[in-house]
Amino acid sequence: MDSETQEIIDYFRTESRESVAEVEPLLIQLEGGQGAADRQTIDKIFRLFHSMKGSAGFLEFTHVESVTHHAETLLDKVRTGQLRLSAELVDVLCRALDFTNDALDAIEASLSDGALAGPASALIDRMVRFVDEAAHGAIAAAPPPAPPVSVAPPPTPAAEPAPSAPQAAPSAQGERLIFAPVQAQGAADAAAGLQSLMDALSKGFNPARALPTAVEPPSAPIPLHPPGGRSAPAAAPAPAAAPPGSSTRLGEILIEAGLVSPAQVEEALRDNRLPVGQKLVQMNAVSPAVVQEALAVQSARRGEVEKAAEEDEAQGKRNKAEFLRVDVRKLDQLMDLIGELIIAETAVTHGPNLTAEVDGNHKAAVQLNRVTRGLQDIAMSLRMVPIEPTFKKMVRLVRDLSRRQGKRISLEISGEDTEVDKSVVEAISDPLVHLIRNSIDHGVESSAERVAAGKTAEGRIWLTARQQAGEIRIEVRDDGRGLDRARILRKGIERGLVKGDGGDLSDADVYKLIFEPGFSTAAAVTDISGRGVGMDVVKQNIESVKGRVEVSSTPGAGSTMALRIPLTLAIIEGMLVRVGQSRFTLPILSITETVTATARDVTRLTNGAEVVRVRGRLLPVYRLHELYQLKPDSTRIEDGLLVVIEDGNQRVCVLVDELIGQRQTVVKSLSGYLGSVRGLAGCTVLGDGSISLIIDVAKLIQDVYAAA
Amino acid sequence: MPSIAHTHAASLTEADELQERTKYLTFILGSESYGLDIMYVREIIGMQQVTTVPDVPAFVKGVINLRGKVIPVMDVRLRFRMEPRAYDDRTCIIVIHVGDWLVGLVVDTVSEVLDIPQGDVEAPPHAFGRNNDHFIAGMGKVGDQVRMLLDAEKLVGAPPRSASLSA
Repeated sequence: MDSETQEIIDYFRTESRESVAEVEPLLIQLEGGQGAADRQTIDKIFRLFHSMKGSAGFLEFTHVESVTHHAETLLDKVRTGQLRLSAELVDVLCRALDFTNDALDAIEASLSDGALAGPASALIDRMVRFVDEAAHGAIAAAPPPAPPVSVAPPPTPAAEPAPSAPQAAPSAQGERLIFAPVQAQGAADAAAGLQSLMDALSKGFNPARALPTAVEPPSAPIPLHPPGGRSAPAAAPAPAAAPPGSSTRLGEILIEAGLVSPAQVEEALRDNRLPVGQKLVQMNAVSPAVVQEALAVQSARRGEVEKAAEEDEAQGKRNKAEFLRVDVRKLDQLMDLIGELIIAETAVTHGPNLTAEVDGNHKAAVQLNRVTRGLQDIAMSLRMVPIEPTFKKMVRLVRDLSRRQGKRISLEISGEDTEVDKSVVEAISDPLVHLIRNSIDHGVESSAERVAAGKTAEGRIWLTARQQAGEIRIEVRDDGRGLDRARILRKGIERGLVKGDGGDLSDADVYKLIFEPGFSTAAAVTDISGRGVGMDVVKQNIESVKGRVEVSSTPGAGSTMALRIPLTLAIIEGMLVRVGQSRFTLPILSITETVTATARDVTRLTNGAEVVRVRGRLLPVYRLHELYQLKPDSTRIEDGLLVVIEDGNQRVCVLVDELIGQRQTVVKSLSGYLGSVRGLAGCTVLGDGSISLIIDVAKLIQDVYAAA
Repeated sequence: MPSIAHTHAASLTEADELQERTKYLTFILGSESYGLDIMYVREIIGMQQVTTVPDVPAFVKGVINLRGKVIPVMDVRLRFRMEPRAYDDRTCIIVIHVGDWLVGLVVDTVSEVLDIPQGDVEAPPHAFGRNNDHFIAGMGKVGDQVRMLLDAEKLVGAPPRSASLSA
């Protein structure tokens, strides 16, 4: 296998995975509401399947090709109204997506989808059965004819024999249905086969350009100009497909408004010497004023159609012109280099040689600083991706799981355009699945239970993302029964995690127990068993990106799991402080103020802990030198400075000798060899080459309160 | 990519040629001389300013800044439960690459690179059962002297686990 082919296959894989991820939520969305608006969605799904098929065909992944081909056929029938988009149909199409994913896995492993012959043929059988049913039960299952008013002049020359169109809407429908099966079985398949062949040929060596536009059917009726009533008939689509109220044909507008009969329009159209409007006036069917009005409506609608087309085009252009695939490793290298640059920049601008103001130097330093900041911002944003695809994956999960459990649950997503670092997206994907599964399994009750409790029969799960003070906050909230404190506590005591009866524990502390490894919420929270989904995995994953999980719950009203993850992992704004010879960095965002205290403000508790009064609040004092066994300038609180740090609404004072100043801080992990070290978020290299440890404020505060 | 593949190939042929002999970097702790397979050694640097890190075993002295990379350093004396010794200008840090990690080893001083034929390497003596024997991969005989050849992987060992914060 040459590297070029390998590259093409890699490209195909990424492309297809993205397509699958895009199609899935669309499909499920389709299942929900049905109507004219969904037409676009179907087209979109169709196109995605089609481009996958084209590329798979070119690369000779025959199973993927045939499965996507059949999926495409099914969608085509939905599009032409021969098949109703039932839940079963959506199921089959979802299976097709699953299959594609499996096949992509197989292709990744063995460069062939040959191993999937069995599943492919089973799936194709299922899809073919749908097509057969569509063919046989077509008339029975046919949707009621679209609004009878939207009858157009004989649409195509091929349909010329179409007789007296006037009241013939139903019969026109019938006619289509009669020859549809023939077309589906023969012509359409042959055409699709041919098409894929042509696609493959025309694509040359770039399967990524799957030419979806080549087969895209005209989605909007081509406007017929009044003066040439029949002059552009070739591409006129089936009349039933045009949603009412969108026609741009003068005759149809008049019919819609009930001002003329379809028969009159028909007659007017036969005479192609005059524009339809004029002819109608001549026939005394309408007044010239009405025609003027109708023409105004027509031009307004055309404007809309054109605008929509322009928007589509603009969208397409944006996708093509503004995105570039870049190897993530290159981005990482870029980030590393920028990190080095910032360290070097700090060394220069904060170096002792520069503080003596040499005239031009200072200016240059400011400029250098400005440029590096700009560079850093851009580089950071390169790694930012919207969280939307991750959220969209949950749509399918909720659908499948709630159906399997016979519950009615709707998922509401908001803030999906929030951007997060790529590594964060990877880290939250599995936790989200766990959390949502938990909500469905344990949180949301059955419809009967819900109604009995005075709630709506349909349960709801909210999935939200938002930025908040340098953090990204992702919440999974449900309106189910909430966590059961008593049962979690009982289990905790059983397992020896809680000493005593736990009566003194706060709710938050009790809920934290569910993150203990092996803590089976199955037995503890509800009676549903046989799970073994580890909440500890959720916690681990989130902690791997320096985030944390917060649980809150109201019995009977639902629970909320919040994932709080720092927005950027790489560079933070930090405050450099000194304790003896050591320098530590505190994230600026967690510092509320810095105070000096007198001996009178300090109270020593019986257990040796100290509290200090700051603005009327009593805050615990944390001595950094004790944890790190350092020798500070002074151990007396009144000699040092108290930096008040905050996490949520908990505050702690940290005693330091001196504030050195604010620094752009490149976060480096302490060597993986050391693992995660108590109370540290990482370290950074200072301008003089020495290392400053970065305090993990949340952990530190947690530590203080746990010890208290 | 090609450059990596190239170096890899080069090191393979090198290994083939040296099948019978291995190069060892030798260093001194107190009165003993130790050898470390040179394959692991990245570089040798003088003693650096070490930033201490809380909650790690005593033999991990802290972290140093190696041209922007933050790497942990361990004092080999403390690892071997020998008496600590004040660092001086002969103290060296041998930076080795083991598994995924770069680790600095603080030693009294580095002496030389030796070529020791495999035939001159004997299995470590199990008989004495001293607690640091498991770091020793073999005993290399060089003339009338013996060098203890260290097992770099075991020396670095599994990452030292720090106590968890949460109660």
